[in-house]
Amino acid sequence: MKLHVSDELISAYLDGELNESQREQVEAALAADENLRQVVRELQLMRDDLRSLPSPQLDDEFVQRVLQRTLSQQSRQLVRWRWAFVGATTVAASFLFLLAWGSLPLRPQQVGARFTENHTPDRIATDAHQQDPDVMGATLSKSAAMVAKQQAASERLAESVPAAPAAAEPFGSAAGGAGGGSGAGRISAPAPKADVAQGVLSEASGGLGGGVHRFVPSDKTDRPAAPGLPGATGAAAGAGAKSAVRDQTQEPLEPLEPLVIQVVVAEKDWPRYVESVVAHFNSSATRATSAAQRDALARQLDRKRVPDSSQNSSKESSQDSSGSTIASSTVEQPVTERWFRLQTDSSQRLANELTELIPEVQVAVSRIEAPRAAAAARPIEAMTQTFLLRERNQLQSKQEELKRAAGNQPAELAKAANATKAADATKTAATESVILVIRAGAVAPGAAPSARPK
Amino acid sequence: MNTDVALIEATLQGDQHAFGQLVRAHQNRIFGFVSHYLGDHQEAEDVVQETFIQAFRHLATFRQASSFHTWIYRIAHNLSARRRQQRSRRPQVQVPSSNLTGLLDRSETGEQRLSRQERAVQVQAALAEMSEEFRTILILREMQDCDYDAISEILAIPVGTVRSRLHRARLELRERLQPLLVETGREQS
Repeated sequence: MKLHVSDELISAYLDGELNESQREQVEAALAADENLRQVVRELQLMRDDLRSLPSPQLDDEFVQRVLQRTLSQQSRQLVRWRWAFVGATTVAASFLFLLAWGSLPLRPQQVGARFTENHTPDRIATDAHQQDPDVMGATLSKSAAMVAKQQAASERLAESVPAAPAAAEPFGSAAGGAGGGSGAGRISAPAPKADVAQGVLSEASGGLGGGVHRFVPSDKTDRPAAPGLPGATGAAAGAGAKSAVRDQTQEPLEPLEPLVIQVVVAEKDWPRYVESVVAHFNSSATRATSAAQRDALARQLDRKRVPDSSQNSSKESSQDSSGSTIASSTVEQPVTERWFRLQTDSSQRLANELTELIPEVQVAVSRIEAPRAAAAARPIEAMTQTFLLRERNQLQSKQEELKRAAGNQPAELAKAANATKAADATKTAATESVILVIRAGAVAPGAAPSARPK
Repeated sequence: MNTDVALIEATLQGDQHAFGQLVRAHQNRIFGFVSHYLGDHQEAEDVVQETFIQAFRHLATFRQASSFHTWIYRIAHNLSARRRQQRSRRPQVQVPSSNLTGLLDRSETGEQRLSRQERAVQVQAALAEMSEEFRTILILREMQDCDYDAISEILAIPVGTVRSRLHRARLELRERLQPLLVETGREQS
């Protein structure tokens, strides 16, 4: 009679892993079943075969090899820990140093250096509205008010000055109307077709502005200018400049304090706006001296900065002036070349260049993309947009005027179409161009020149 | 076991000589296991070295809930499995002649010796053709003489699984070696 036992019990029986009753059960089954006995015999043979396989041995030096590897790993780990400790200590020390440095009060002569060191393009963009409220905040908050003042001043000037001939100076009334309201100087450039440039210069300190600076490309100016004033609207601009200077002299002088200026510049004509910054600082620097000096300098600057058609180079104009540090060399450079330099030069180099030109200030320059610049300088962008809108409106009105005057004349209609294109180009240049943001911190009188970033 | 515990304590206190003794006590058994598992003695030696280095680095985490013997087997098994995975091919099992000389028995005739060597080659080849889990459990049980509890700890499987898996592994190997076993049985009878 066969007794049924599970296969696993057979295996466990061979291994001696059964308890007493299980072992008796398996032995009873084996006694009754020849086939089961055969299975067990084969399994035992197989086990013997496995156990008789040669067992490889390691040599006596194996232990030494293991211990050597263990020691070398220990030493490597020790080195790693040491480096990790040194690294962590360095980071901690740097952090503490920065913490302590950041808590020190900011002295005026440090403003420029701080700007240069701490304002990378990204930081400029993101930190624009988180700057020191005494510096940036005041600047930006006043900018919006400047727009209204400038518009009002422009409208007053536009009313008092006869409009320029449209063919000779398409944007004449707009540029000539740019006047220096109190606390603001504004520089606008004509937009010759696609090479349009827009710029707005605003001053943070309020109270004193750079007067009116208007730049007309020499190759686009086809009329002799009035003395010191450009193009067909020279008289209007001159009136605006005098008005601005008069406004400045009537205001009480404020002590020179850390100053931040932002200039939003379209890429094509940026040297003109770099120059305008120079001019602005020059005029700002004079306010701590005397109103008379400032007035004289402002007139000089106007003469210098606005080349008329008889002056092919601003270098010539800079030679006959005195007491000014105008960056005439900037203007005489071809625009394309200057733009190329801007692309290849570092911001710091441009800042140093400007600092050389303007001993009174420290300048940090960063080139950032237009969207970031807009985020960084929103009030100024608003001013720019206001300017552009007005330019566009004027072009459109001019177009309407041309249409009305032309009737069905094809040539006049073509002029009107060109005016529309110019208006579109104005808008495109503002939205698509790379914008240069210049920030500058003025140094208090008597500050050591060595504080300037080099 | 008590010796292992004392050597571990001494090693943890910085006695490298004690660790050397631990290595010497276990190296050949571990080497046997890894060597049969991988089928390559050179590769097996590398793995055994790495096994002891890992054991040394993590000796402080050894809780002595199990024996050092089981613990180090488990390390060796994990490293061997990883090495085999990297190699991603079944081992080319070969029995080096130097190992076959271990089978030398001076009382045997030349024919008997040749027969034993051929038998060993066949068994090793059959073992190498088995699945990894069957081969591992057979090596641990039949060649390393680990009991069910130890196998359960080394392979991290329940004892019941050890029993059933071991039996299935045996049946498969028996089937592979059937001609050899039948012939042997006939000779013995």
